[in-house]
Amino acid sequence: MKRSKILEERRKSLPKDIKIFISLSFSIVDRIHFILEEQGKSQKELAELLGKKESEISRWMRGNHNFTLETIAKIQAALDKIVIDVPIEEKEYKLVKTTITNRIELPEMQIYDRNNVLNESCKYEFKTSVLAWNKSAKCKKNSVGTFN
Amino acid sequence: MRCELELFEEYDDINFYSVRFEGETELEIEKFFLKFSSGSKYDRDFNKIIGWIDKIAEKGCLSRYFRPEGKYEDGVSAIPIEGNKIRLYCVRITDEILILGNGDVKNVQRWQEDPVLKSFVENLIKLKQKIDNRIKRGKVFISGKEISGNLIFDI
Repeated sequence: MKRSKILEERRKSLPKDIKIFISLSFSIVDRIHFILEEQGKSQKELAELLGKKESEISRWMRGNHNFTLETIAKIQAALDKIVIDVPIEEKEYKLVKTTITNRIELPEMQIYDRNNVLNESCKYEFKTSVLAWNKSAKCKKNSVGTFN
Repeated sequence: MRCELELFEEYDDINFYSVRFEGETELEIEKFFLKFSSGSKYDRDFNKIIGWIDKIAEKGCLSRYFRPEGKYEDGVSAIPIEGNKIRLYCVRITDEILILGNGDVKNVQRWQEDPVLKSFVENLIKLKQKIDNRIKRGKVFISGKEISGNLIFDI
């Protein structure tokens, strides 16, 4: 495969953060594009949902927009789908689970992870915890159904 | 001006081409790269363009990644890095073929206001028209990521 010597030389000094920035921005717009296709929505409809002009959405979708977290949150809310997902390390995850278990007295509470998505693992943990509470007669059994 | 379309870089699914004007040793895209030596004040903007080119090599030249310059039908785009002072102009032929032209620092609102940028864009517009005509007349062929046939143009 032919490569340019001049470009290859410049690639060697390409900063890692720029590679990551470009990669992330492309991934985000590709993800939004995928969701729009999946939901049969156009960029114009997304613009309407966000109260923006279609031209602004087109500009975002070119793969190098510096999205703010606020914008991503608005897109995520408008499309009701995860746009970006931040991994939770095992150590951090245990803390989340502990917090959930401690808050078990609120039967109508739903367990969402930090991306605002119902977390299956958390739900399971929550259910297990409720069952444990049932055994010790601290919670009514029908509370479990609320969380499924 | 006589010029020839030449393969610049080849990837699994896409090819980058550029233009060499008659009597010149460098392709237009090479002139662009040589213009911004490492350590210049535009390093960051320049590096983002390289990062963008690499990403396009991976994902393909999908039309939604490009910002049309001039009329949409002209087919010329600027590599659209937001907030970037440098512009690199290109022509998207298909999802698999991209022609990289020249570019420079943009200090004006519109490329039409800068004679250097204007010449880069207008040359690409003329080249695109010639390529389209030859494709219609069966003198230039597109097959996957390859463009072949008579690739010498007077623009």
